[in-house]
Amino acid sequence: MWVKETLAIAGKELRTEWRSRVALASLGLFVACSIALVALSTARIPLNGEGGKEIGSQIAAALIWIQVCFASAMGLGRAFVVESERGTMTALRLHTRATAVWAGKFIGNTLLLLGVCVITVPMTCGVLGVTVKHPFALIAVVILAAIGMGAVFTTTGALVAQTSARGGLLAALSFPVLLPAFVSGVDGTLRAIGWRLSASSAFLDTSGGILVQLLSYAVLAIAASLLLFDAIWND
Amino acid sequence: MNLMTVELTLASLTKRYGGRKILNKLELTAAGGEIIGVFGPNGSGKSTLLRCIAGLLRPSAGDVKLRVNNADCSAPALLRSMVGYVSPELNLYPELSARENLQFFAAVTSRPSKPIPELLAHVGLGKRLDDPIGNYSSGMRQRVRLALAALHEPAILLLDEPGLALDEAGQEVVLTMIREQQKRGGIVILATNDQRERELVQRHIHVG
Repeated sequence: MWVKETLAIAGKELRTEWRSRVALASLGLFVACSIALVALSTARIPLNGEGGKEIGSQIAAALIWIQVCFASAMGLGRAFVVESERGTMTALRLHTRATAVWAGKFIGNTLLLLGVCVITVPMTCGVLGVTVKHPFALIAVVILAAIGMGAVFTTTGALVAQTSARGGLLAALSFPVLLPAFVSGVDGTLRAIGWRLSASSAFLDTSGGILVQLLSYAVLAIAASLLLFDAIWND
Repeated sequence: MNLMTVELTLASLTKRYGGRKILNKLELTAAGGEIIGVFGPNGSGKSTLLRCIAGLLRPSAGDVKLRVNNADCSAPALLRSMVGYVSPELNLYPELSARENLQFFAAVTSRPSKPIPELLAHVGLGKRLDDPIGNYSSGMRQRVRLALAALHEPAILLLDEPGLALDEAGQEVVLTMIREQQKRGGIVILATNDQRERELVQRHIHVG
């Protein structure tokens, strides 16, 4: 029953977003602008040769997570704010269980975030001429980091929806909590790209610990959010 | 839901906003089949009282106690699931149709729900049930709120200005809904300034 409720809420999130395209429009614009700016600003930097490729890898790893972070703050943090502003929160509170609401919104947010990653990661790598040596490792890093970030943004978004100072508070609340995910995400992306790893090195042998860190972060973020959300929702 | 017995008790219910006391030690005991009016001027706390009873607002002091079929349903989450609530502040998803909205709320609740097309036809929306709610008039949105309140056959029906924006036929829907709730043994709590609705009230509490 809980799973059915959760899936119904996630489905509603995706369906209303697809029809209104509020978050999709702002996310799409942000992603398109940031990739265009990266392409223009790095056009004159020589990224060929061993030194250039190393710089390109580092720029790509940082830019990917900067884009994902800002896109998340713009799109995901609004999941509960929209409910509050449109007056739909009352109906939702009357009919649903707190944890099902959190889980449904978390699934919707994480899928949206993964959609952003599907565009930003290959395009940023392509624009900077970066070749990914361990593509499956990069996919695992992105998925695990997106799950952790989706959980944090869903919970902080719910907290922020109860206040009047929404914009600034979301960043102030989320950033310190997200810092470990960003550090591991950037590190994992660099290693998946192949920075300072020989082509023959297996990712898991040298960098498997990063995947464990990201997985632990995601599990902790989900568990803490589920424990905390009942109080946020009912008060 | 099969209602054998329903009993609602408000014990010294108090609600303050900052230093201002909106509700002051309200007492009420209501049994199934009763229609209770909540009267008072604008801003006197009628909606606040309904929100406290619905479990949407935590009282500053006092309790809201609900027993349904001899089971205690006073915990806020359980209380909310027993309530049908109509209020101008309750909105539905404008991108979804009336049918999709009700299907969503039916899917997220464990309690059985009435057939949705039948319910929408009952409130006079049988021909427009697949239009997005964003295209509805305010009266049609109010009809969807009425349908949502009746979706799970609630133990308590909380109606805050239910006739708002409704035409003559719509107001008749409200009156029918109140009578049906009374007939099936549920409680109706009604905050209204409409004379026809007030005539159904058996006793009332005055706030403000």
